[in-house]
Amino acid sequence: MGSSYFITYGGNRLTFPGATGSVAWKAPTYTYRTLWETTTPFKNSYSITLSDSIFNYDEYIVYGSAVRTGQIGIDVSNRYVVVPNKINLGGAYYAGKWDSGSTFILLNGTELWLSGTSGYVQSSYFIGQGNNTTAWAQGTYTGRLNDVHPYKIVGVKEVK
Amino acid sequence: MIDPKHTVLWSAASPVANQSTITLSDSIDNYDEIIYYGSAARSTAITVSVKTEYPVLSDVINGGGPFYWGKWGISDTYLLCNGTQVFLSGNSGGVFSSYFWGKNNGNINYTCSLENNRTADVRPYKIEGVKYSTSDDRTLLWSSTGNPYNTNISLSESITGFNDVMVYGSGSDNYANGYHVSKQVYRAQSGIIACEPWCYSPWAINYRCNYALGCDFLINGNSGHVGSSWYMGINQTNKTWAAGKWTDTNAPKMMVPYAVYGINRK
Repeated sequence: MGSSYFITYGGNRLTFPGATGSVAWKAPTYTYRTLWETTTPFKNSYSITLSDSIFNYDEYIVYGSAVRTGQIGIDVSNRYVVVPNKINLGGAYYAGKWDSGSTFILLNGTELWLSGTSGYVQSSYFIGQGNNTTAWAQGTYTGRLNDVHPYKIVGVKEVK
Repeated sequence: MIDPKHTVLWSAASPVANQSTITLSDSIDNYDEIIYYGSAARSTAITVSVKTEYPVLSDVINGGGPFYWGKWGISDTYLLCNGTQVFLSGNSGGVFSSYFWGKNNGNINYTCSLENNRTADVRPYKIEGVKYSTSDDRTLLWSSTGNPYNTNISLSESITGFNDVMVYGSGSDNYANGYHVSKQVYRAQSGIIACEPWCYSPWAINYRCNYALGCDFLINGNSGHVGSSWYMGINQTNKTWAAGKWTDTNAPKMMVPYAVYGINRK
């Protein structure tokens, strides 16, 4: 064991025990399969159907994009672990400045619920900092092009 | 897509309690990235399960943890950032408070809280180390060791030659040896794209602030511009909304990009 040290946090003293060790690396191999894709991503409150159950995969990736201005593009990927036999809450999200012409700093995205081969694209929303202020700002929207919406879902399976 | 090597450095049969320490099987300093796996039991029908990825800064305390951003549950209208603070250094880790901040239920008011040992909060159950090799499809396009606020940068080649862009970011947390780290992957496109490095992170070990931190960062082909860095989230003991920006190159780093990679070359 290596030397230990401690820090205090919230009035509590927490000791970090030192340790040493080595482990073998594993090179995982994943297969990726597109389960759903659309050319019209900017839509809320609608159901989608996957080509295969997400319960057949270990993880899934949600790709999302938004139209902010004529110049600036936003295109993100968010990766989640699949929870078997449950409704999986997730979505496509982006954090950052709203666009080059404002000072809004926001978390923005669209809710997505998946279970089996079924999915539902919920509301889009943002929460964050107001324009030219440090005040709280938020909003919930449906069908607004400016918000990050999902356009593709990919299932990820590790090859054992 | 070529995936780098992974190693499980720590795991538990269920998400661990807050205010606890953990020991990793190998030092995080031996890895390029770490992945936190976390889950939360929200209801009998809903479980949230996430993986949150960070680059590793060697020989310092790395702030991070598993986090989720989205709706709390199906039957309410809470919209929240939720997760658990974790600090890692070498073989050692501390799992601290869970927290949430965001939009209140049924109205537009701000809400936040710090929690201990609540199963509804996203808490860690596994940590993996990720190590890239020279054969992995990852090309360094730009890097910096300074504080590149409000400045233009040049990449060694255009991002349009790749399918994806990976951005690493870091910042000081105003605590000795403590740093924020950030990894984001964006789809590469022609034209100006927003590639902001950002993360959820505890602000400092001795404080109980919990923020989303980021930096304005635009890339177009092989050119880029780094703007201001910013933070927003829950203030420390009074649990109120806090937000602001840093634009001073002499100030402690809040969050700035320090490396840009092209991955999945076309």
